[in-house]
Amino acid sequence: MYRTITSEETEELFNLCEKYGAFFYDVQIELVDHLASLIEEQWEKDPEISFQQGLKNAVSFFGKSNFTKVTREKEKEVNRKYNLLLWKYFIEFYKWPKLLITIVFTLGLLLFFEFFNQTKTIMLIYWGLVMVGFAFYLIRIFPKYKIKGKSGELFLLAARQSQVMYISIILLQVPLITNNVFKLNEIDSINNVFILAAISFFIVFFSILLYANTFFLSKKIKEHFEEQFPEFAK
Amino acid sequence: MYGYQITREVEKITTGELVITEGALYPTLHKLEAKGLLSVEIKTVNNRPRKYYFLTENGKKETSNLLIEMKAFIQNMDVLLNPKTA
Repeated sequence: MYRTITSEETEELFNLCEKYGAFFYDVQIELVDHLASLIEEQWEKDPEISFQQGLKNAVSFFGKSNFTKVTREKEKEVNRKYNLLLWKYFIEFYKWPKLLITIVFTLGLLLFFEFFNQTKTIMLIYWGLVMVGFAFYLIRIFPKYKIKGKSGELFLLAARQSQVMYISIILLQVPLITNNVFKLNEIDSINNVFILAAISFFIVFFSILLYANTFFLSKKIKEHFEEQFPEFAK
Repeated sequence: MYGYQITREVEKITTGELVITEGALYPTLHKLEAKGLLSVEIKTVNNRPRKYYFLTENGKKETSNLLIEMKAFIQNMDVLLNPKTA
């Protein structure tokens, strides 16, 4: 029976991965196992080889540049996967039967704009409510979905989940842009029904995107994390 | 199967004719996982976590389709490179 890697040596391999730029635990586990297997392969042939010598040979065989290469590629794939998931969910709102909800909201908003004839005020109140809702989400709801490693490990899935929050913050710039557009044109209201319909369409569009980003995607990432790393899920 | 095992199995089956580098293997596995063609499971083996890959139902279908395509391609190439004289 040949020697296998000990827990302390495994820890050293994790530190090595971090040193070579593979910071995420979900990427490190694969690299650590690969390096450990390469070292154990050497022990099968020559049990006298020291761990350090075996590690040196394994890193040289694996290639130092591959640590960052594998991490970068994994980041790209994770982003692609969740962008696609977000897009699929979002597009459902423009297909039957969810399309009905989108139409009702868009038409409702258009009628509201026409009835009150205060486009800027309505838009600012709307975005103000969205901001209050988003603040509530950040304080009360997001902490329930947020991925937390038990012993401080950095997870790629957690990084992707935080990215979701950045997108949402960018989306919340919309009220400022709205205000500036009205200010620049020195108007408070719009009467053209086509422009109002376009505004209603975009407001509903952004609202769905914001909802999909905050509620749907964060929850999905958390679910996938719990499936893959049940021992880390709190 | 896990990453290291895949590299060694490929080398063994092809008697060393085909060697998969680690820099190519893992990005490909991650791509297939993101596409839903592979599923993963993590188990602790020899004091370390190990990530196992499995073909999903979609992955099995895709493999079968690609094999059919590849066989057809090889057949066509064979006909093109060795045309039978009438």
